[in-house]
Amino acid sequence: MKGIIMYKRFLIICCILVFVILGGTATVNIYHDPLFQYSDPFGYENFESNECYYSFQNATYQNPGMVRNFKYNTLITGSSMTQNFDCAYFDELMGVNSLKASLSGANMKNVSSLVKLALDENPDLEKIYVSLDDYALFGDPLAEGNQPPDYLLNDSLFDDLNYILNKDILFTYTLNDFYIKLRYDGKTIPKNEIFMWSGLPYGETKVLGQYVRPEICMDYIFPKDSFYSIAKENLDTYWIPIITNNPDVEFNFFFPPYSMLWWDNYLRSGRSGAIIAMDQYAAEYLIQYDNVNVYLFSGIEPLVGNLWNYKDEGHYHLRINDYMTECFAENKHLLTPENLEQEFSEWSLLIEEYNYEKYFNNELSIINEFFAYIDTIDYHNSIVLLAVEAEFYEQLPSDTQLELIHMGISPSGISADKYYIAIDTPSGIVSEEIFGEYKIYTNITNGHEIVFEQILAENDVLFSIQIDDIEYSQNSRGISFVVFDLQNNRVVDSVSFEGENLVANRLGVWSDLPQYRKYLRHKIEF
Amino acid sequence: MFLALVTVAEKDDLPETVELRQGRVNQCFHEKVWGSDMLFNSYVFIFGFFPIVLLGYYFFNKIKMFTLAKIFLFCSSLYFYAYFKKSYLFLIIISILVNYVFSIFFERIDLVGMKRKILLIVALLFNLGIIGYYKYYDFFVENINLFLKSNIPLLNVLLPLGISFFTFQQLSFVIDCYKRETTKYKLLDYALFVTYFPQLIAGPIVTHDELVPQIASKTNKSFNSVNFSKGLMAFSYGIGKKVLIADTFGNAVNWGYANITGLSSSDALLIMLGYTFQIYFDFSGYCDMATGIGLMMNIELPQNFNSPYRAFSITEFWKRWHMTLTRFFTRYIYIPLGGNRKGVFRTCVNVFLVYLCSGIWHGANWTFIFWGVAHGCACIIDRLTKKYTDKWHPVIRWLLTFGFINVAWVFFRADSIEQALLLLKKIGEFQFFPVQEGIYSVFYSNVTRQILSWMMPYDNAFISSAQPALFSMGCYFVFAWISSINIKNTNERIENFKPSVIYAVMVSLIFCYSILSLSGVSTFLYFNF
Repeated sequence: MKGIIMYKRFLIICCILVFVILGGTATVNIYHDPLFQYSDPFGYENFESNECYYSFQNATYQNPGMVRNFKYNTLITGSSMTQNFDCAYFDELMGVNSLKASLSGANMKNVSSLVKLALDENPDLEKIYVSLDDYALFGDPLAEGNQPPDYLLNDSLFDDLNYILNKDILFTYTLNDFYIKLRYDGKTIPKNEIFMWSGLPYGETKVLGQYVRPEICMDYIFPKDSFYSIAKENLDTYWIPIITNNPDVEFNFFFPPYSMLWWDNYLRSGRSGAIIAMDQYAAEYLIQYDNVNVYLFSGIEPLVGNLWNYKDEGHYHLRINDYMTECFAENKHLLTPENLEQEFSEWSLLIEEYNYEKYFNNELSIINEFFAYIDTIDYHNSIVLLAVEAEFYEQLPSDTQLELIHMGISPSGISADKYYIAIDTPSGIVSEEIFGEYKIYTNITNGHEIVFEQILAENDVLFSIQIDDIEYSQNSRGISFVVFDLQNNRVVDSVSFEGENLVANRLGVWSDLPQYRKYLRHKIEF
Repeated sequence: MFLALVTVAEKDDLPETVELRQGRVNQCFHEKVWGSDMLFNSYVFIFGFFPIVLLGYYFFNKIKMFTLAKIFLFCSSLYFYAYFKKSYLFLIIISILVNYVFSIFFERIDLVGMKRKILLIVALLFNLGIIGYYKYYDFFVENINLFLKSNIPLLNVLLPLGISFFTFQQLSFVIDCYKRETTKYKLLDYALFVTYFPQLIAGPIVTHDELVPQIASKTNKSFNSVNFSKGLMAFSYGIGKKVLIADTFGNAVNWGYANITGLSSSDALLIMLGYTFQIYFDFSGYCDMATGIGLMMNIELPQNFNSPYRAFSITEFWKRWHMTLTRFFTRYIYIPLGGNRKGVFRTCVNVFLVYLCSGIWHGANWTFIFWGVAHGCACIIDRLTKKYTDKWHPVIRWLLTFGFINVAWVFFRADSIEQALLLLKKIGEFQFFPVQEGIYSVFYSNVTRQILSWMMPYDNAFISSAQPALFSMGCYFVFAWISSINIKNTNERIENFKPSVIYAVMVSLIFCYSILSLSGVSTFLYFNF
């Protein structure tokens, strides 16, 4: 009898423990709801001022809940090409209440399932902005891609056990959010920063550094209609039913402005003609629906030809997203039945006739020795922008100092964090010094606006050089050069010679540090 | 065919328990089956099906409606089977009815001599015909097409779940009927013997004399806290073995086999060893769960594993691995062929035939046949050299046995003989580079990483480095090795079970952590970014 009691006690303890552990896990996961499956914990209006902390870690898992429960009337979605859209800017320019639910590497299935969920769950939805990526158009329609698990997309409560009884959700989301709130008093990021990139370097040197240029393939040029059927199948499967079933919702597609290197790749592998034709086919197919707009930014040469707008051959800086937002608001670069043919033929011509070799035959960008560098610069056809920190200047050898003085640096005594700047143009030299401020030059060069800005960041002092609102240099110590080629109308190099041995660094430009800046409008025009 | 509980990379998908590797031949069909499955390690089974079955079964028995309880259990088992694929419900029902009719003929009509033999042959043909059609037809035709350059169409038929198990169960039954070794069973008892859900899809291969008397008995109908405690313990250990250990190894093994050309010798060795542990913890874990479920209903299922990696010879290995299958082949093939009573040569032939059949039974692919033949040859060599090898040091014997088992599993897991040889070639190249991230990263769970980041908030570089992941991988391998060799197995634990508070806490923690591990958050790696 005593034995039986022990067995019963064993069972009772097991039952209690299982109930407490599983019940407790489910309770905290439902209460915190880190994937937003049951509610919008922010109340949307006081997004940042909420008492709780929410981390945004995984768009695949968190987008469905945001789309399901947040309050919005405009949805921005698509691949990583949409990740840097600023919801607040959308709201400001268009008077909407937007939500961004982007997904890196998303294919059509992934995006359309999110849009379908949004349309099913949100009767207020009026406008949808979606990137129309070429890889998604010619991708396998059956591919899963980056698809969220079904339990996040469907309405079944039973399979939500996958969510609420999930140790990864418990530890890496719920408990970690509690931990960050308690230990660091974590603040939830504003809605426009959700899944935006940060801390990534941009610039031509960065882009070229990781670009693998394929061999020219002349054996086989893809016929123009190569991808028509697959694009049609993708659109028919994932978009047309949604578009026709929701005539009151405005669908805005846009072809993301990949850089010219993206097209260099396609061109050399014999696919560029077929892919542009596919894009045109898709655009014609979509704009026949009254509730669809299609935008094309791909043919804007100053945008796609300037690799300082990119971090790799496809991914652009957030100022490009801002520019596209402005275009959406003003219906610029909108394709219509009237202009579609011409827009695509101009774009096609640009791709075919572009001088891609200028990126690869850039003599200046491979010189790493200081004196050789200044000897190689073509001063008759260039504007040379130069900046050097005063303290660093004083430590330089006299011959280096002399060269800098020849180039326009005008030293005026040691002072920490003071910068000397010089602008060398074919018509003359401008010398100045900057300390905790910015200087704008508009009259020196033919129409270009040049800005030098000292940025006093939290743990560092940076110096930024910008031309026409695009940043080309962002260094701390060292001698920074930005060389603008007047003949080709483009920056051919940005380099900083640093340290005792003046080692050449071409580090690119990091994402913005808006909280420390006094100047950087980022309202660019193309 | 047996269950190789092979796992998929995505944690959110339920693990695939395989009727061993039809999947490999007809992957797409296979995946459809398991897309909507009700494995023991699924929410729907643990929180839905099983509690309802337990409550209903004990309720009907409590109010003395024993037949209704059996009908309820039978219907539940059919539902369990139909959950995988409704359309095959008719197959199992027809199979049960026809075999029951055979048994009636054997029992009730006084058949003698040749007529009785003819009836047995008809019964064997019926059962082997079903399994042959569904399981081996396409394999046979594929090879005919390959050798004769013909173009005979394939059936591409979806393999009925558990067909190898319920066919063999019924084969044993009709053969025993023929041998007059059975008693008269009621149809319901017999149908429940075949369909009883804990053993339906992955064994153990239960014999009628083990199960039917337990089903028919009226003494074990009420809730028994002793059995229930043991059952809960066995189930918890089983689900822990399956979900926490086997599936983790499975993810590494899947990665390895998908990237086989890029493996170094060290990677390939780990993949080989990883599969050895995966298949043991997977299969034995599932059997432990079946044992636990049975015990919670006062039904004892036969032991299927007895720490097989402790074996010092291949012959001993087969006395410890999938014991009910070995028992079946011994009873119905080896002994009828003469066993070891007709001289050394015939014994060797008999042994070889048993393992050849075992290979074929495990799946319709040359890899299984090769695996079976390899084990057959090893067993023959073991028999012939036993008197010499017995004198060797146990460590050497164990190493040789374990080494052979590992190599043989490579063929068992590979999609083709060529793939298996490629993996072995990689090992033989002796190029030992650091282990690749694709392997070690699967052993470094999100939870471990998170806990480390709480403990060392300023050591992000260390937390993201390979070191903790490699350490974690090492722990997995060492734990798997120790626990499969030195720690009591589940059946030994059931025998020596003594309830205590610590035991209850341990069982509850394993159970809960396994439940919380059924689903996860997978990180999408977008390297293009």
